[in-house]
Amino acid sequence: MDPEIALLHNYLIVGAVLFGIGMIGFFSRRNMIVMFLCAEMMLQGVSLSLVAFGRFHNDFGGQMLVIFIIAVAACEAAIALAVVLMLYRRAGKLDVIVWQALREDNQPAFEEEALPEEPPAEPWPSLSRAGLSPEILPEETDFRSRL
Amino acid sequence: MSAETVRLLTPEIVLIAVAVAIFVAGAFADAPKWFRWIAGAGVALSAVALWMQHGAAVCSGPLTIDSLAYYGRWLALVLGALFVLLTARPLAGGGTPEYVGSLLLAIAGLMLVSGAGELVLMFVGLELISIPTYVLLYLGRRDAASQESAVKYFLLSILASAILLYGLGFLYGTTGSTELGEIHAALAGSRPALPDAGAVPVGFDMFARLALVLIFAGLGFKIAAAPFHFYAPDVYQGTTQANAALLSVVPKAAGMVALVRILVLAMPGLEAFAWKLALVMAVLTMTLGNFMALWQNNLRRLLAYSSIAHAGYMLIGLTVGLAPAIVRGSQDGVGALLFYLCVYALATVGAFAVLEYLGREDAPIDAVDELAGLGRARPLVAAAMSVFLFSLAGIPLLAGFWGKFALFLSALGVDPGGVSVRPWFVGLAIVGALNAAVAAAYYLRIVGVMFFRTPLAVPKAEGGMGPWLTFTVCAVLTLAIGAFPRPLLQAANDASRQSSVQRAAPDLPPVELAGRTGP
Amino acid sequence: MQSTVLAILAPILLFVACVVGLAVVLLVMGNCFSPGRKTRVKRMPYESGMDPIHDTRRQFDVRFHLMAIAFLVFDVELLFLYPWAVTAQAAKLAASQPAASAVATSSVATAAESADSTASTNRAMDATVAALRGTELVENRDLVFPGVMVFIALLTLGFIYDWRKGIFRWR
Repeated sequence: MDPEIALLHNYLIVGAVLFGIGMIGFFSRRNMIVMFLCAEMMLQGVSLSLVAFGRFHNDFGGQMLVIFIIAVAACEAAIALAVVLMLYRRAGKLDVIVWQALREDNQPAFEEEALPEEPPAEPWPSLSRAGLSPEILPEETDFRSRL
Repeated sequence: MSAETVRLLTPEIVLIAVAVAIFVAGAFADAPKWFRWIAGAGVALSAVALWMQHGAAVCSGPLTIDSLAYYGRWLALVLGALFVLLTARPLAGGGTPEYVGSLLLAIAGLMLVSGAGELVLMFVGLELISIPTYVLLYLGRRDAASQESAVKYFLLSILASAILLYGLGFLYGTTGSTELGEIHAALAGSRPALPDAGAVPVGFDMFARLALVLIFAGLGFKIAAAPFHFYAPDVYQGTTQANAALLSVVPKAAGMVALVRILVLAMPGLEAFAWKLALVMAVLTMTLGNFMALWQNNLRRLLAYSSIAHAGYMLIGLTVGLAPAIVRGSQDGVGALLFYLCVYALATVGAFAVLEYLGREDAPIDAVDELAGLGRARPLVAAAMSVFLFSLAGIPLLAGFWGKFALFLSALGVDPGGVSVRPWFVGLAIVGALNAAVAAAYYLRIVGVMFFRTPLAVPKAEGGMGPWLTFTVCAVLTLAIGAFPRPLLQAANDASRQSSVQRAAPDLPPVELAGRTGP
Repeated sequence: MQSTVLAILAPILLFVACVVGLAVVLLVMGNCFSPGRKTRVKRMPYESGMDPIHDTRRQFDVRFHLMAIAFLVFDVELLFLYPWAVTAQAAKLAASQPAASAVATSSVATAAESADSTASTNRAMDATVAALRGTELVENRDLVFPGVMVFIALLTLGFIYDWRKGIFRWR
């Protein structure tokens, strides 16, 4: 096979995989920032395909579009950060499930199953002062050597 | 880039410069009233610049300034003027300069899309509509519902952008150029698409088709076509009347023009596949929109479903336009689409302007029942609202009727001569007509509530002068187009026919529709 | 083709194998020979020898986000200046070389490049020059510089807007 075409295929496949992972992530995640990052990942997949096509055709148009995609993505990221920040202040959560007041009249709200409760974490011990060796409890001195 | 390109872009440059000036001035001074006037002056200046450069169709750099571009840009400026009027009330939480500036930027984006002859510029134009729209949605009102609608629109919009871009990427990959004229030449076979004639990548023949599906999906979001419509009702319900009006018109116009530019004018050889796709989407969109609207009580939600349904009607025109090789009818599909776009925009903006006029800042009109007894309390306002609703429903002798008439006529005119395609288009026209009948039910319900119900509480009507002027202008224009549809229809048909990138079938017979559709 | 790819990749594969092998051997040896004492102090998250007093998944101050947004926008706009710089130079070169002598120049350049190892960057430049030759851009190259200046002026206006809105003030 022509190496140029093999190269094009490799890049297109990676681009498609990036696009696919981004889309799956967008549909399956509920954190607003992660959803946005997934959409960005889709854009990266597109950019990769465009650059590969540009090289294949020996044309700068693809790269040009990629530069504009990056610039536009930065603008969107700025707005995303601002909007998400405001929503976070209002709801105290990044979960998109919080935002379901607007829906069809007879549609029930989405309720999520309660998670099993985690046992409270053990508090960490305090460190000894610098220069002193930490005291070692007898039950923790399980000295071992495999050989 | 050349001096000619810059000259052709003057109207857009004027708008963007005024928008930037408003942004910066807003950081220094706080005078909400003045920014409206400056914005209005900007739109007027831009219109003057556009008027001065009228001329023959030219392609310069990334621009294709043909009759379609002029049609889209004039539509954008008219909408811009209406929106500047409609949003004349200063925002409660501040941010008026940002709001007005974003509005102008969105209008400039629509103008750029109309004149784009190149994928990069088209993408930038579409984003120049989307990004200010996020700001508008956020600034419109600061309550929880408004912010929910902002985030819903934002997240789904970037998803749609990514899908559209992937489509544009494959279109570029198939043809090796971002210019629509070159793309047309490559797909038509008059220019080699591949750098090396011997080597064809695996799956290369599928790329154009894939591009078409992805572009349709991405732009389907902008025009709120099923199955990409689901954001529309929620977003419209949560935001202000003016924002809902903007969302139901500006992205839709941009999406339609972009669809025409890319699918109809630049992708020959794919019609057989494309028109089937468009036909399925048209039927799905209008049926879903109309039937869902029957159940709605919230006015903005109802108008959202109505706008989805109208996107479906417009897709009829696109379907017919995508089958140019077999059209032998008396009405051009794309021409009907463009005409309908204008008519729909006037009626929808007018309807939202009436709601804006009737409501108060802190208590907007939400439910259909709040309009009860309006016919007695405020007969003129009720009459204007009826004009818009009748026009949307397509009652004869109003603008909407001629729009639907032109669309159905174009579908009925598809006659390949002996091939079994015609029944599909006749069926499409019949489904459209049935849908119009269903739609009349919910439009007439609102009119009935306005005129035949006793008032619960008379709306305060504190919208002020701006919204009043907006809906008056819209009502006058709707009535005028209803009485004399020919000039606008002629302009729309010219816009479709004289587009500079030639269609696959240049031997179309000259279209003569004046005798049929004129009053 | 398979064999050539393998031949090119063989040193890299060998290198990867060595690295992975060494890492595995070291881990196994460490696990086998070292004394192990699992105290609770040792299992603490390491925070430079101090008591970890906060959860690490702490919220950042909003002011950092504002800075991040401003930085993001201005940083990315820099991207447009690279193509401008290349294009401006290429347009100048394309205009300075008459179109008739262009073919001869490029063939001479190719011959020279094959001998010269530093020519790889020039080759990209030559391709850009060749692509630009005869285009509208070369005739209108005087517009390129003002165009970029307008772009930078717009960015400056954005900066003034940010400054007036007070996002650089650490309140």
